[in-house]
Amino acid sequence: MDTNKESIQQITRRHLLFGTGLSLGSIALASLLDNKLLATEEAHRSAPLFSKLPHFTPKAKSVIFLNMAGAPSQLDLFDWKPKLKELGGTNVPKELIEGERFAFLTGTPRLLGSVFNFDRHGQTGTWISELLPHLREVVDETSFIYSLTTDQFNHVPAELMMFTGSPRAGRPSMGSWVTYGLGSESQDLPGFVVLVSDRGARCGSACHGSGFLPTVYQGVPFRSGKDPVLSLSNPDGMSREIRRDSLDAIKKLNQTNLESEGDPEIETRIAAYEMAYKMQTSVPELMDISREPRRVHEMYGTEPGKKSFGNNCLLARRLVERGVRFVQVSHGEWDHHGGTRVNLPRHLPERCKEVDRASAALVKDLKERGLLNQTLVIWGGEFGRTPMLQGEPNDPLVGRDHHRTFTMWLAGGGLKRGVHFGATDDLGYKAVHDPVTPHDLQATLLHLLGLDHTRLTYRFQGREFRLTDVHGQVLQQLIA
Amino acid sequence: MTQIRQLVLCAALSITRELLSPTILGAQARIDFASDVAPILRRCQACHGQGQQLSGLRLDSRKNALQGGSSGPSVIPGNGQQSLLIQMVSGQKPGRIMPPVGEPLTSDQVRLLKDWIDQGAEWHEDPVTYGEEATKHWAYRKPMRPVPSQVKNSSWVKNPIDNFVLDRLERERLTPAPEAAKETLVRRLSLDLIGLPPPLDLVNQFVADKSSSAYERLVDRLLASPHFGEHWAQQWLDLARYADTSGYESDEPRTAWAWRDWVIDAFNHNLPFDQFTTEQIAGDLLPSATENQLVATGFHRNTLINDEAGSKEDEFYDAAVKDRVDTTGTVWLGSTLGCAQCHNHKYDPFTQRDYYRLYAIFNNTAESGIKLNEHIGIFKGDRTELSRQVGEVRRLRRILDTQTPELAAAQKTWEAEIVPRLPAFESSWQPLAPSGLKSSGGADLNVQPDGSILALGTNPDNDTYELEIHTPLKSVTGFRVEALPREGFTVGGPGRGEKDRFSLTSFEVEAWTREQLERQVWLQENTLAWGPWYEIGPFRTLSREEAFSKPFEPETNYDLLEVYENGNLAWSKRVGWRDGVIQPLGGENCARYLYRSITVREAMTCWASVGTNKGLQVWLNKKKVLSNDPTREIARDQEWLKLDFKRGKNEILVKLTNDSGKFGFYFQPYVGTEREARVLLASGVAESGDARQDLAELLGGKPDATWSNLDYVSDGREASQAVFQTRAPLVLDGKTVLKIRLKHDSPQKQHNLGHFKLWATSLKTSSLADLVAVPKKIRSILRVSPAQRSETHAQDLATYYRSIAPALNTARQEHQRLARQLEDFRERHSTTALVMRELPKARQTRIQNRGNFLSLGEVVPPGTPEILFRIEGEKEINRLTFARWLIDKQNPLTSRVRVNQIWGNIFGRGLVPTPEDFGLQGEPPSHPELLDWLATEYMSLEWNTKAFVRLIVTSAAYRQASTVTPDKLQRDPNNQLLSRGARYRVRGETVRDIALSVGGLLSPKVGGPSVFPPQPPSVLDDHFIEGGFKIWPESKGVDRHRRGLYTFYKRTTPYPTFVAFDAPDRTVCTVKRSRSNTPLQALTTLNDAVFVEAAGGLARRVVTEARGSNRERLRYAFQAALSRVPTEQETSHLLDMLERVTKKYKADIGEARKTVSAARVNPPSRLDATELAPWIVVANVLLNLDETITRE
Repeated sequence: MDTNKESIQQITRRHLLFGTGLSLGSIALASLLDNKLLATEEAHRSAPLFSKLPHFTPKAKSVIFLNMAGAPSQLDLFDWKPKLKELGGTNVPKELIEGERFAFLTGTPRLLGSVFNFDRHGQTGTWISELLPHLREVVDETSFIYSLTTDQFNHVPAELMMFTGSPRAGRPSMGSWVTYGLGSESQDLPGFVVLVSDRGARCGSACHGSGFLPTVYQGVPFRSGKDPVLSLSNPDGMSREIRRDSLDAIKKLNQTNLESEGDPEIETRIAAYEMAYKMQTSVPELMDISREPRRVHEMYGTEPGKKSFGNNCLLARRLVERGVRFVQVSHGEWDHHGGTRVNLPRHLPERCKEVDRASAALVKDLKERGLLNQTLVIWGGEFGRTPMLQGEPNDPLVGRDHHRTFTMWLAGGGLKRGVHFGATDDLGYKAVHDPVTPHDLQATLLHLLGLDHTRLTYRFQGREFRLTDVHGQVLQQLIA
Repeated sequence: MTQIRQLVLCAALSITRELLSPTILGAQARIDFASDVAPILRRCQACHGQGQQLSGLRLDSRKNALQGGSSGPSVIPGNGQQSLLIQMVSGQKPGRIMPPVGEPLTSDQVRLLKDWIDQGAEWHEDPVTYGEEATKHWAYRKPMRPVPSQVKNSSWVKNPIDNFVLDRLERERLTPAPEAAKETLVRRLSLDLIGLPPPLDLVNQFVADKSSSAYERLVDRLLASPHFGEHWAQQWLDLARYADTSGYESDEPRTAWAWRDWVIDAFNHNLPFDQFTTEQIAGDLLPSATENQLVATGFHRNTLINDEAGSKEDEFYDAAVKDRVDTTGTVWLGSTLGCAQCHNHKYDPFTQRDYYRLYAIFNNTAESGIKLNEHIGIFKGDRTELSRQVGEVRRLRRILDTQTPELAAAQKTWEAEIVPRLPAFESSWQPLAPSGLKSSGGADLNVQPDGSILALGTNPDNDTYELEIHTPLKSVTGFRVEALPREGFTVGGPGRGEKDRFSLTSFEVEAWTREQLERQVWLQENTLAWGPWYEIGPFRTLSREEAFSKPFEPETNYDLLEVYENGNLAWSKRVGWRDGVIQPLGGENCARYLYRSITVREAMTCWASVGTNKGLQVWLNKKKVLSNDPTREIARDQEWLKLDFKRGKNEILVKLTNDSGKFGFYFQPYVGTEREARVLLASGVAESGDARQDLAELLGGKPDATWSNLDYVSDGREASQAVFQTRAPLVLDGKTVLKIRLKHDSPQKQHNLGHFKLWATSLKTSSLADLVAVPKKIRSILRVSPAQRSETHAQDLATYYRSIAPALNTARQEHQRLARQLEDFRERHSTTALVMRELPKARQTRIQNRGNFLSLGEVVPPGTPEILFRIEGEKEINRLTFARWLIDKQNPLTSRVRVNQIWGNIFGRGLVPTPEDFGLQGEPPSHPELLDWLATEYMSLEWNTKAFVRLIVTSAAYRQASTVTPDKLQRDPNNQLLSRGARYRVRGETVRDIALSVGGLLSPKVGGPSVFPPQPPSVLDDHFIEGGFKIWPESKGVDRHRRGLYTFYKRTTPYPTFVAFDAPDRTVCTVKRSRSNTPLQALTTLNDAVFVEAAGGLARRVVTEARGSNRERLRYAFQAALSRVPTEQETSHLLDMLERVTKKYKADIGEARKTVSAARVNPPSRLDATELAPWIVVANVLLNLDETITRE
């Protein structure tokens, strides 16, 4: 049977696991399985991160999700609306907001045209705000979805919706679903890695948690500093030599126990300890970007040892190079409501400056290395911002409230290049062409990875759960 | 090939169900529709069933299947290959495969369907229409008590459990495993019953005890341990989604541990499961519910709240109610009710209507979805001490309440003295007619011919009246404000608010000489410029002490343009703040800073009167001028602040800290002689009719203290009056100007006085005080001669006299002191608990279309799923009747579900392997008769949990060795048949408990607030939370080493060790934790500080407690960790390593010292680090063995 052959080939390519070790015997046995049977809990227990077959031929192998937590203003970055600029200062048409619930706006607020200038760029003639000069250089590589629409208008529920497909806490995140569905291609790194810069997301581990999936699928935060992975380094005074010696003792004693008890779980534990030992060198090596050539540092704007979005983008590239499936990079504080602390005129440019160079560099760098076609890059927040102004009257420190319509850009991973998908009305209020929900985005992401979102299910409390709940349409028009 | 593959597969991956299913092993036989085909076709029913027929196809009867849908017949009997059904399920149509959701059918299932059609598609009944099928489902029928099976090897049987287990094994031709070694049994029992490894002496004692009852006595000893409750609570906490924070964005801490302790206590005191259930679901509705029963309802207060700004109450309240329904369904009914939120359950007999009927039961409590409300204070201290103190207070009260002849005589003397003074008191009051009247809000104040003052015109918010008065009086000892009814006002009352109400919040008097007045005006206009207040905060901490003593950034650098706390906090200008008014502030356990600049033309000293509720620190020009942290309530005029202003710009920085309670700030500057002019008032009392109100709080400026006619609503027109005494007689010279300010700063903003009159008296202070103190009612009794007083009046008078009698002074003071002490004692030993509280009037529940709370359908009354059984004879269905329905012996599910949970907690998996789902989609029990026998046994034991656990662990099935033979691994890979003892890795909390216990560090303390053991600080860095809770105040002392279940459970970032070992984040009910086996776990137990410390502890035990050679020491360490002696091979591996490691450390003593210090060992005296360090390495190895963290 073909499936078996493929599985065996995969093994010979030694695309193994993070998360467990298996004796050759059990790998061989597992490989004989129909892939679908691996979805059972027992199977996952034995071989949770064993590289698994997708539902169909994938276009992409990895995903890098650049999570702009707090919701950047699409109207000041991507979705150029001359009409809105023209009508700025006038009241929003009442019929537009009728029956709508906002987080903070009340009454009939006034419209606010973009605070920044836009220009067209690339062969695609994409409108981009002056705040994103580096993105302008790669617009022909990226596709834009202007018509994203979520039904959540508060940060955490919306972040949960984007990453787990449900606004309530408790569901597995996208990266967990992906590693559950596909396993890991890396031998000594987790399948799902989370990088947080100095400005993180708000929902905490809930946006990279495994929910009801086994915790082995949850995102593992790689931190800057001595221990990128918790407890990675040996205690003071325990040299690598002594550690090796003690691991050998653990191994010998576990082996003795395996012989008398016969429980295969002991074998898995022996392998886990060996993997842990390997990680002690592979992870610091990965995190050390100092040996990257100067040109790369200039491209990303990275400074080794710093906790920054730029460093995280470069790390994301290094991670996917090493076979990590899903990298979630969070950079927050895009919540520009207006007022002294969080306004568009002063703070939006600051945030853009922090991310623009590195985001564009990531796309260029992946392309140069031939990785872009197998790596999907997504950039965006959990929702957008209102065409209406929020702030004190006559205060120049303007802002916008939370809004359910927004824009994201995507690149690589088997997508078409330079597509402008969906559109909003003249005021940028509602999606009028091809509205796209977070579930559609999730369905498309899984599809690119070779997974059918309706078949990637997990049984919990008597119900088959999916990332896309009971929704989601693959955006075929975007796929190359 | 297929057969072989299946076998191999089962061996490797433990697909027990396949193994047990006859469809695979007996595929050649004739296919039985009911047992083989119907379960497969059930998956089609959601789309092609009774409720819905996509493509016009209905697969719930033979007729319908043959007829087919829009694509033609789906089944052609005798021709499986050509049947559309087979083509669809096998994916022969490109791009389409049925079922579209979930995993496709296995090739064996497809073959089975095809063979069935080939055999003629025999279809005996209509089993897939859900009502019928479901009522026949085993779980929805009441468990019947089976007779224990007859077995061949009857000598193996220790109790009826064994009959069922052995019967099954004998039928499968398997033999049970021999009994485990005694060392294994004692460790197993200890881990299963109390969650801790047995101490060495217990192991030795048990191994040495050869008596026949040794085992049972060990069981009873463990069942009686206070740690039993701790261990058994843990599973329940997962079910109850217990956590110490609220989840979502800010993930704020909540005080909920009293409920956790209630659970521990309930297990320890063996509260029967029916009561355990009733109290948690509806303890508040029990007749005269006790405090404990209220605390029990915390079960359903473990729901999340979302206090993110902009969140809507209705949305998150609805989410919490749904969570309660779903959790109740899972925990007690093993049913997936959540599916019915949007539509009728696709498989189980629960309709959407059933769901919202249950929702209605829970949709009637008072808590919010976006803020934590509804908690009660509860006493957790020493109750004996409490009742001793209460007794003392009562004893003194009795003395104060007892009339004696001596007291009666003293009363007579007192009466004789005071009665003659009464007329002078009444007549001493002189009216004060103001010459100047000012309303801060622009009301029109007029002096009436009778000297009273009438407010007309606009009625501004929170008006302040300032009256200037010249009086011929030479001295004043008291003031009186009379609130006068006014014809022509709405109801003829004295106030300007709704229904003529007023609320006076402050009464201030100043006395000015002419010179003072002139200089003052000049000073204020020419020399001082007060800037506005700026405010920043809250800077959060976990305790008030920390808030007070920790210097946050603004303390050293108060640049108003700077932002702090990662940009979360910025200074904001407080434009609306007025001096002399209490400004409310928010926040608990936090600090706030205030800033204000003052520019003065020449150096001068001013005073300010300040008030707040807790800590107050003030810097003037960066120099600390005040620092105080008493416990007090917010009020005016608590402390004088001396301000020596230098010439030019001066800066005041104020730091306010709070733990809980009303937080606020009061600031009243006194420039020049203002302070001297202020007339201090000593006491105040208001009277209206017989009602009397002490105005001390109003004078002290408590924020909500007012004098108002609100309390006298029934008779708002009656005149009421307030009398204030000066602290010292005010001496006047005829030219002195009195300024009287009446402030109305209550939340009822328009409650300004409308008509009032001012009076003053010169009566000597000494004689005024006791007269003012005498209530009007007593004064009128006193005016009547003793002989003519009624019995009641005589008693009232005697009671009053006792309250002032000098003879009782000592008792009165003692009573006061003890009452205060009692209150303080109660407060110090109290915590709060979140509880359920039923609203008096039920909320209406409507069916939600597709589960959307904004899209409502028909109204439904509260009720239970009809398929199970009806509540009979109950008039009203509420949480209490529902709780009784849950534990009614008619209920087919509750007992089965609970015994399965208990079984799972011991054997590592339930008899029903899907403890969360007993429905048609769940897996059937491996031993259906045993399950029913246990369910009925638990009920006939009257839900006695300890007796039930005892029954399980004394069975022979339980005592089997866990060693697995290759034959059993193949035939019973998951041990579903119980052909051997269970062997599994313990839960995350227990992994840590074992290490701490073996290391001799574990604190045995039971209960109390959650603790914060050390964790890497970077754990909390993962996310940005605006104003959110991001603190981990590392515990000190024994609290570093408490059992895992006491670790503060932070939902967005749970304790990393537990997460690595599969702990859930407790946002939803978890019945079954997964059990992974990963490198991150290895790193944790190898390197995490707690485990290294535990290794240090074990090493220290070895070198101090074990004597003799390394071999003997090793034996001791090994036994401590594993409760057994090492084999010769194990010993030599470890001794070899010890030798090598010792050599390395001897060569580098610095490394040895580092190892000792990393393990936080306090080395025993005269012990070289090079001797201790190698043992730390050995201990680290022992704590990392698979066997150490495994229950064998």
